[in-house]
Amino acid sequence: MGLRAFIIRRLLLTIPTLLGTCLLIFAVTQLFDPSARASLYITNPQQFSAANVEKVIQEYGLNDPAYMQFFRWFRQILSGNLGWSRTTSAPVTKALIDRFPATLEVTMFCAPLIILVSIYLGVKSAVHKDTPVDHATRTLSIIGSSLPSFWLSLILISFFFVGFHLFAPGRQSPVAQDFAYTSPHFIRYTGLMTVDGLLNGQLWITIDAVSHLVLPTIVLVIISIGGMMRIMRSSMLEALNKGYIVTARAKGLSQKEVINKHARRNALIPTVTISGLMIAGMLNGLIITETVYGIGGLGQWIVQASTNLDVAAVLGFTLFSGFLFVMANLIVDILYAYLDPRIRLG
Amino acid sequence: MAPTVKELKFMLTRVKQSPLSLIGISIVVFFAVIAVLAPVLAPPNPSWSAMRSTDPFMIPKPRENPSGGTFVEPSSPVPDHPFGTTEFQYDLYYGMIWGTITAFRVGLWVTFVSMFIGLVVGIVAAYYGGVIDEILMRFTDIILAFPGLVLAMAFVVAFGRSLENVLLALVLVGWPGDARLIRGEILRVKQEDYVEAAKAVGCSDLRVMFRHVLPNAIYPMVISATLGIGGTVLTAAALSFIGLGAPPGYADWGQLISTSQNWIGITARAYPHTFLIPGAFLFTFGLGWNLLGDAFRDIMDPTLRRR
Repeated sequence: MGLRAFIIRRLLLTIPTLLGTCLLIFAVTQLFDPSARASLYITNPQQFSAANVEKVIQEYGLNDPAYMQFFRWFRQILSGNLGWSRTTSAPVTKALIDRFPATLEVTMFCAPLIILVSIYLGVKSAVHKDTPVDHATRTLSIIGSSLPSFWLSLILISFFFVGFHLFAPGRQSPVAQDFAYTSPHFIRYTGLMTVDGLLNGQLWITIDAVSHLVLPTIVLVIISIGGMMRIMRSSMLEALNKGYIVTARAKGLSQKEVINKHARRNALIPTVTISGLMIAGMLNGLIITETVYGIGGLGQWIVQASTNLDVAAVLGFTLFSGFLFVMANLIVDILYAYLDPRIRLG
Repeated sequence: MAPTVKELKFMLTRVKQSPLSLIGISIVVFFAVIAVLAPVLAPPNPSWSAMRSTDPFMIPKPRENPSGGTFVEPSSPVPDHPFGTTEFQYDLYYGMIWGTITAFRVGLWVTFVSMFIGLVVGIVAAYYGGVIDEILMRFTDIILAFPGLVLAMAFVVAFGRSLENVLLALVLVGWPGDARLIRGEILRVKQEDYVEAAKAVGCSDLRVMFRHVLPNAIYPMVISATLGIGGTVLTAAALSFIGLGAPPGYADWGQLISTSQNWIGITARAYPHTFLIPGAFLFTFGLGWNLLGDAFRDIMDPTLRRR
């Protein structure tokens, strides 16, 4: 089976999973009263009055048997209508799109750092197995995965911001935000402030945005590296015991070349497979961190929505994050097959 | 039984050799002692005016405003209240002590219930195979297709906000991982020669399953359960922190940290003890279990030991 056949087969396998995620979310919708569920179909705020909610219930037959409701609901989802979010007074789809850039921006900074740091520390730990370096890195990774993200966030704010007026919480400083959203000379091409600042030639906007990203990034990197580092360490240990390493050493290659070119490359493969899981883990941390730092992305929004019992927003976001996660795993699997021919040929 | 005793002895020596596992055990034992002695360490005191509830998990407010309103601002530690009080005057020392019981309850309950469900589903899937296996595994796939915290949040919103519903949501999100793990292990062990041998000498299917397969397949699950307790308590605390779990005034570390958010010194005076103390308890508790889990993994991993 070639790479193309593998990708096609993998894409086809994604369809039932996506259908399954929709079914599960639909099952959750059935836990709510019809009047709470009506918000999943509502498209404008006027429909929230008691009489109109009744009309929505009638129109979409929310008292009908579940399977009949499922097809109507599914058609709504496919047409891109996830309902009306009371927290934001906007359609859920619009709220998702509006808040996505802020979350993406944090992810853009964190994900590469998490991957690089955990690979570096994992390799270091394996090469120096059972030495103080190894013990220290492993202890650090355990400490990192035991730290509550919200606690670490509060500590960093109270140390850096309250103590030294550095790295303010929020996404941008008020001046920068004012400029970015009202100045006619500033066009928000991507919604990512760090990128838009550069595109508009306003370097200070970028610097301002980066300084607001420093603390959330530190928190997410510290709490997320543990798992990936451990996988990297054990696969590196395994790779170092392989025959080709002995061969490489016997050929007289330097330690650096043996590690970088022969061991690390092969050890990376298992790490790639779990990077999908890492994305989910990071999303979990992101929700909490965003809330503490008030970044105004998806995480903060969903926390507000869930404490306000905003059904449409919570379920819409859950479906969206399931979809993202399935896609991330799809990409990881394809990458994996590309890196390791045994997967697609086996 | 001789080999089992030998195995246990071997494990004990390994535990003694690993300083990290000793630290982990000490931390967990320390918290267990606090939990058991809670009624002695922080006796529910009916003379405190705000101790209206008979539920010992509702934190008393030792100081109430004589004019009727409550003091919103936290107060610093004093000898009578060694950890001070939080927003609205909840006694932090009391909250820490009784919160330890909450932490154990959350961690152990969620871990055991999801392990039990996972065990049943995993055994059924691996034993029957075929269509049943396929259906059960596709079902776990669907739940695992969501980031855990997000799905748990959706469940809590659907069931209603409470600590009990947080526990339920964490079980619903947690069991598929256990089910897949135990299924995979059973399928692996089923291939082993000694299982073949047991079948050849005429052992019944049930005997093969429970006497030969399961005891050899269960270790990874024990490790993942131990590792999971710390993570579970952290996730439950996060849900309480954002206001989906324990109600205000309940002895729960996450909830207590949440009440400190206004007092880190941005909008009002800083009272760092209100988040430093509960966070330190939560962190140490998680660290204890994670150290223990990590040590277990090394001790039980047959590929890493006896070298």
